[in-house]
Amino acid sequence: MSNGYEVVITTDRTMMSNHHGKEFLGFMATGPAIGIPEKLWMWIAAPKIKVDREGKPQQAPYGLRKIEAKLIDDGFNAAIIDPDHLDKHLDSMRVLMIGHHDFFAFGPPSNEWWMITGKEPVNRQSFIRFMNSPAVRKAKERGVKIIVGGPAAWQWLWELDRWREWGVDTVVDGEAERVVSDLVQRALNGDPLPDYVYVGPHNSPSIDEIPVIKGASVNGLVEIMRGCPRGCKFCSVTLRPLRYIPLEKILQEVEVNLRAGIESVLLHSEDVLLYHADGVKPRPEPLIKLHRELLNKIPGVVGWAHASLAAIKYAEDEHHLISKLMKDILYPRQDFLGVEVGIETGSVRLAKIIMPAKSAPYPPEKWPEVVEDAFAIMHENRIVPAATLILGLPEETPDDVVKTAELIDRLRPYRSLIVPMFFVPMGALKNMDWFRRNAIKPEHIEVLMKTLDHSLYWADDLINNIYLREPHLAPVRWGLKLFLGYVKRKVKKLKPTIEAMIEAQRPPSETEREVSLTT
Amino acid sequence: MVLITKVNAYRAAVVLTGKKIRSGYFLNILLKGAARRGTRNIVLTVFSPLGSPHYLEVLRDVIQNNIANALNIEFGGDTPEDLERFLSNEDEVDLFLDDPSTPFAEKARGLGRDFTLIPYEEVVTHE
Repeated sequence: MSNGYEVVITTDRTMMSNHHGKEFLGFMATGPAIGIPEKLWMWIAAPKIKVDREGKPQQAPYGLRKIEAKLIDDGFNAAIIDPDHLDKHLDSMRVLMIGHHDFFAFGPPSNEWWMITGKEPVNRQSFIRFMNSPAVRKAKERGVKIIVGGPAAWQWLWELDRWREWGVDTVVDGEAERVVSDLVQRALNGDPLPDYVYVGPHNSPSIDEIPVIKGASVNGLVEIMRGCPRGCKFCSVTLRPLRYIPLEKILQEVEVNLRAGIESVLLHSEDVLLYHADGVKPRPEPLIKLHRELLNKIPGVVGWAHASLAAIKYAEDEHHLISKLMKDILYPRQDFLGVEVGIETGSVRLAKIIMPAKSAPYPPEKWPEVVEDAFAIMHENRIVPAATLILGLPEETPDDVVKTAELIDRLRPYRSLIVPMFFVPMGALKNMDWFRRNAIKPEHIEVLMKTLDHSLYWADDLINNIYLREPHLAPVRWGLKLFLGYVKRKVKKLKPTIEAMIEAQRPPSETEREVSLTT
Repeated sequence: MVLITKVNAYRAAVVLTGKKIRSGYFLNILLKGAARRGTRNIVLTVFSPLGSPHYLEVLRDVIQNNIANALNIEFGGDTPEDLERFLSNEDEVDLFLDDPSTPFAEKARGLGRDFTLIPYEEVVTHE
């Protein structure tokens, strides 16, 4: 056991958790606790993680593991520490580094649940509690430098009062491997620190500069590539150069996780199927090799973080790759696979504006067909997507939303969850009531109701037969069913009112206008 | 690898007195300055009576509309004397001001330093 760490890396409870081994449960932390007590909500979404005597968690968020690894490789006395155990290191700590995906719930879907319910999501509340905790306050009083970063770093620009109140020294936005050691050294030297660092794409780390993690990642997540070639307007990842992590490096990280007792792997990429692809066309050989090598190494199962619908369709149509992976390679070890996918819109017009290459190699005119075909392929192969839609973009018209609603209807037969993400401009978060009254249109409410209906329809099947089958997860299943029961009752009660509201706000049809003119 | 350095970056200093600057204009100037120097790294030193980090509210749009260049934003101080000390020690820094009539501007002129004015948006009220 060490005498404490000079550089402590941490985050709040909603991030420092393995979510009962089911990372999708972590998404509950993006919402407020409704229908069930907040303690139960937090227990379902983000239970505490096992720690050692120093407070080092058995598993930690992958991004923090990369920072930890980089600092250790560069000779710093650094470690990730669980947020409940920071006090053990107050005497040694000189730099406190905090990462997060969504510090203040300004990102999707947190901002949307906030907008719909009027209540702050638990991730925001948890993070604020953490920053106000005695350990963090004491650290600051003792002169510890606080450096924050992660994909949600930009959110600090909208919480300048808290930034000052908490004494945050530096906010880092971007892939930090090439800047973090310099920053920490400056902090340890007592040199002035910049307030805000944005790491440009040209300063993204090369493959050799990306370290191998030293400790286990949450649920065995390991990255297989960085960047994405599609260039969608709403996505920041696409700005970064495309890099494929070599298989040896991936397997080294799997080994780290195995040593910590994590037997499964969750492959992280913006599109798993584009690993060593030919542009946007998946190639079977690298993917088959990757999956075979993983299964040779792990006793558990393989998961995918994200895949694109176009790549799923192309892979199956051209190479029968999806069925090969699921039926010949992953089965019988596992009989389902969950993945996040992006539908975003059912409108060809809008797709051409915001994401012209999302459907590639198919033309954007084919986008709704690509979505439906990919859903059918996934359903047939027991791949369960959690699909996102984006509503409320500035370029959107009512007809675009109607097209999206029609597409959702056509996706009903396919086992999936569909989650709408509402584009909430930052200014609106300061005046939610105004935003709700003026920016949410009847067609948005219709889509929200359809996605809720679709997801509730498939939720029971998913909970009982697919995602939470294990006996030890019975309490989690029970808690979730309580919540879903509440939602179903609430929706049933509110549906007539909402439908009447939608109808009342709909502009009259031509026939209705004619009738009105003649009477 | 030491990345954040004043050697391989375009350096600029800006005085922000709280006016709503034209962000697109200012970002464009910074990008052009960096391009002239053959770099995509920008170190921006800010002087502002708004203090740190509240001056970032004025720069928010500049930061969020910048995609391609690396940005390193540091706070130089909140008084004209801070600016004077900084300029006395730094030669190769382009200076920008949002108001030519402030004590900050006087200090710059006193040191014989040229500066560029950043236009700001007029706030029009109708009575």
